[in-house]
Amino acid sequence: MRFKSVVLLSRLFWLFIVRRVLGRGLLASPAARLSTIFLLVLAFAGFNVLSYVVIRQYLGGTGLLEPVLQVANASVGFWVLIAYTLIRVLFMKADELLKLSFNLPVTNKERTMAFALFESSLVLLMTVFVFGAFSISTVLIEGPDYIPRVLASIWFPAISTYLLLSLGYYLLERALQALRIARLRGLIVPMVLAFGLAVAFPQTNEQSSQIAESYVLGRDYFAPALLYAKLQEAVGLWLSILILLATSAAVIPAIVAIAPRNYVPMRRFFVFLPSRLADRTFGVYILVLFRSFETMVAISFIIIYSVFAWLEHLVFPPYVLALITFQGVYAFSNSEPLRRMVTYPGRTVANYLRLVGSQGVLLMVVGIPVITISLSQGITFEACLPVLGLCLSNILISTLVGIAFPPEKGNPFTVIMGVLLTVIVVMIVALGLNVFNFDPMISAGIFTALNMLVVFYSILGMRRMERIARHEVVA
Amino acid sequence: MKWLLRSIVGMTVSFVVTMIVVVASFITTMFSASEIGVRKSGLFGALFFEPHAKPDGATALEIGVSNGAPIALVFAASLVFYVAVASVLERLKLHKKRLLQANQD
Repeated sequence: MRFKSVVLLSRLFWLFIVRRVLGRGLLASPAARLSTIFLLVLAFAGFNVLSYVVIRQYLGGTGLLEPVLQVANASVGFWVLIAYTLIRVLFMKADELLKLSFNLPVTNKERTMAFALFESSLVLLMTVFVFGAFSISTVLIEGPDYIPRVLASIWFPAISTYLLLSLGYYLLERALQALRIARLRGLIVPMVLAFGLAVAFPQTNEQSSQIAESYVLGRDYFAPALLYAKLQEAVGLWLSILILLATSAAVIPAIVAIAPRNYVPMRRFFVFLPSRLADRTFGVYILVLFRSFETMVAISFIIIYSVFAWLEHLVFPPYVLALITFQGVYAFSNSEPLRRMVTYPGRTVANYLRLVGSQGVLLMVVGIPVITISLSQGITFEACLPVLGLCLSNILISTLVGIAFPPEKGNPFTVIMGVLLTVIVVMIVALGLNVFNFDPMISAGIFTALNMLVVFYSILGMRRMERIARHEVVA
Repeated sequence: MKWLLRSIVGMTVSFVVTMIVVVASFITTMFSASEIGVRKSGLFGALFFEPHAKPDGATALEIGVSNGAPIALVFAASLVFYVAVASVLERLKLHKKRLLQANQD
């Protein structure tokens, strides 16, 4: 393996992603790009200020920062797992990105390693977003003496956890290849990761309460996750850096050795439902949605969760249904070929209704059994109604995100930017309306009006894209 | 049609900006009010925030809008700002187009 080509290739991936993200959809216009960057920086700054204010108000000068830092240390693993899961699941669709390098003189192993390097920089970026605010405000409050502590209790464990996760992932991929089911990894990997999250969450909680308890009782608490912090406390920063380097030096060659040598393409569709449905245009839209791989992943998650909730007698409204409504993000771009194939694709409003309607059918098909299970567990139907409202509004919003920030194969970021921006705006609007203390009926009315606005913008966006495709306006 | 579209976009943008201002001032008010029974107001008296003790010793929060005028003012100001920026941008674009056409001739 040549190290130089690994670095070169990962730089190529970065360049591709950055240019692709900044050149598509709404982000293609400089004004939208500037305001997006501004909004993101503002959100991060706001996050920092909020965390500084909260920590100073509640923990400043109380000496309680010590156990809080330990709790944060114990939860680092969980957060890194979340970031890893997100990036992994996002890039499941990214075969296109890997295909970029198929005509370059690199081996499969170098390609895998380059992708791992690219991915690790992304996970690092996400970890900075999650723990950056906490680290900065802790150091600001307690002074620069805290820098080694923050390093040893947050950043070193994050690096080691990430490396171990990668090793685990490649082991899993090797096992799937040995069992000859590697083509299904798009279904199996998210499930394994979700299972990991389900196991890690209660454990992290348990550890946090143990840390709090031993602090109150004045005991010394030790867990493997706190290794670096303990070493830093007992011996000093340099030794913990040395240990970090030693473990990394042990794990990285193992990753290189275990990374699969051959490339197996991933399955994209499941062929079910009769093709006769394609007689009607609406039927084609239904087929596109139901047969896609992502829908299957979402449905299997919902089934697993429902069975789990049923067995464990969890009395909780079926918010898990919202998972399926996020398919709306792909609805527009997945069905785009349908509108390109014919000379006259039909009226925009009709196409929009087909897009949203097919998702409504999917929601109904999945929702009826799930809600029946919830009702049989004693949840009232009134408690399920807000869930349905949320799902419907989520379908509309995610379809708009898919139109304004069209996802492509190999570039999941445009969508992520769109989803992030939308979540920020929706949260701000929801919080703002909450301050007004409106009557529930008036609030429902306002939300309906906002959803109508979302529909209006979606149709507007679709019409504009159609006109660009017909060369009626300049993009 | 063009003006209808532009006004709808303007309304949306100013609505979101107003909400951002309301939420930001709400959060700052929340962190400046710490004593029980003291009524704090933010955003030039538009929002109020009052923690008071319940009979069982817990602290309850009362939040709300006491005066809608400043919020409406924020909305109007951002709408005016948006309209001004949009029309200036439009002029500049027209100007650029004209210059390019003059170059071609």
